[in-house]
Amino acid sequence: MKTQKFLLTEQEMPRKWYNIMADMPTPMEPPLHPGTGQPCGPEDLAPIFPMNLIEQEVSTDRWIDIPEEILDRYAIWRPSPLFRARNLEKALDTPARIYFKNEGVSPAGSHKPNTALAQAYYNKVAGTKKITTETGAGQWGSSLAMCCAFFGIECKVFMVKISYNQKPYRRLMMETWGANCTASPSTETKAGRSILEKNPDSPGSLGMAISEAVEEAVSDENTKYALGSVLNHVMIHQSIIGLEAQKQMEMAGDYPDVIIGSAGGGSNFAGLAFPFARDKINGKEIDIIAVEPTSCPTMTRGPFAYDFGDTVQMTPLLPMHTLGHNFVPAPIHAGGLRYHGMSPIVSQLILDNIIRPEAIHQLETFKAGLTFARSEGYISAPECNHAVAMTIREALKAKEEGKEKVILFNWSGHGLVDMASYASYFKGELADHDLPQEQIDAALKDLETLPKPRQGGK
Amino acid sequence: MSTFSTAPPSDDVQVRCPRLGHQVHFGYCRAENLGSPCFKALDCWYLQFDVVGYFKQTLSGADFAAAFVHQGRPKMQTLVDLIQQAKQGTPEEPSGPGKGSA
Repeated sequence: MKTQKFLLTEQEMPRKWYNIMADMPTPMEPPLHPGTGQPCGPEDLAPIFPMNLIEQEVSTDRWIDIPEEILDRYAIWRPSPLFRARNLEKALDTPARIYFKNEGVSPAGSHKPNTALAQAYYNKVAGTKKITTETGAGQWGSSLAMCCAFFGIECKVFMVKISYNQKPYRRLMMETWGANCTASPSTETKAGRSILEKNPDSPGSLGMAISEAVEEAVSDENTKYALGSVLNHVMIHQSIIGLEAQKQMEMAGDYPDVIIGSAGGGSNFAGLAFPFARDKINGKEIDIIAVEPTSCPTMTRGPFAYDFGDTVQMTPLLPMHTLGHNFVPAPIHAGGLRYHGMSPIVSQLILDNIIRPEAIHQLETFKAGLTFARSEGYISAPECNHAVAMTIREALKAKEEGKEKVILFNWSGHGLVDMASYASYFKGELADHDLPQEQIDAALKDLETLPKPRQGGK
Repeated sequence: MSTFSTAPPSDDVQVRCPRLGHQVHFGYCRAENLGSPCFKALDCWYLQFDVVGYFKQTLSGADFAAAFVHQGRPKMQTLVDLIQQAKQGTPEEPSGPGKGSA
């Protein structure tokens, strides 16, 4: 029987996270405070994050020790298995060797606990008694709930009321892990009460929920706030995915020619890709592909510019890979993949030609998800299907070219709590769209007069 | 590829909300922000119907601007703003992309 799973022992788990800030070909420009125009400092974030996490956020150390207490808890599901997708290879009749890192094995079903656990731990060390956060469908909220339970920290999740009512299973997962899951808007914060005064039947919004979560953190010195994506300390914690994968690929006797991950906020993509990006920066030839929806191409068609966040240009100024504030993208039906601006680090690595962005239509992603489910068995989360679809494209290209390409992708989570999106696909309710070039051109014109950050090079 | 319509959909037509991670009705999108549309409504419905024309027709110029001006705000600025609002005890109606976690 041929090997399909490459497993590390707990003792072989990486002892350090990787921080790509140390190796960026072009150093990152700091985010600027919207009020002062000066770089944001630790004191700006101290009301909601503990200092040990703020230090990681701004750290340029290449390696950051993973505390034993975190390793002990990571060991519940880590090291996650690396699979050789032999059945998918067979289904595609491709000479490519396909590997995937299965992050769906965490108790919460995705990669999110990799940072939730670290954030809960560092808060515990800093003396935090309670952590607040916001959630929509609940993937992040449930991950944080579980990890707070591990460290005996109270967890308060403001779940958007419409989600609270529509997604009972994630809510129940949070409650099972001991979190207080409150429908937002709530009567528990000024922000929530203010909204309910105006509309007692408000179904809530993610913006309202984050306001409540931040307010509660700011209002109590023993309470902090946690975020599951985009920020650098999140990317650092997720790097354990790629660091494990490097060891496992070595076990398999292979090294990837292609690395693939779906990219929304960027954390699952970064988790797998950044350790390999370091290899590429040091001379390895790897094609590192960040996949996004064609219907919302933040990476594939956008310039890198200072994006003024509103039409009166009052809220600058983080260098973002963006289509500009007047850009109007098309529909998309895969959750978690549609931040208007991509992670600044990912954006810069695109400019530096370390990462290559690609876009895929949603129907292709669901078709790929079915191919994967019917060959490898696992049902992917909708956003994860973007990576599966790109992998299939690359595998079929290898077949056309007759090349024995080695492809590695991040299977970031299962879709078992999100079967409604598959139902929509089966019913033919999803549609593909393409953005007319003239609309993009018009949006890009808006950016021509704005100040530009450095575009690669030092 | 789907066809483009000039008329708005009925309130019960659904799309998957990229921010929340599940299906929502058009009725939610057009009134998500205390009766004003979600700032992403233009993004999510643009190619299904003339959503820009629709909101320009149904909202005043000021309301249209208020609903859609905050696209592209990065996470860090959003957080700093919210911290300052919470410190001052003056919560404002929040909006902004990329905020929050599904």
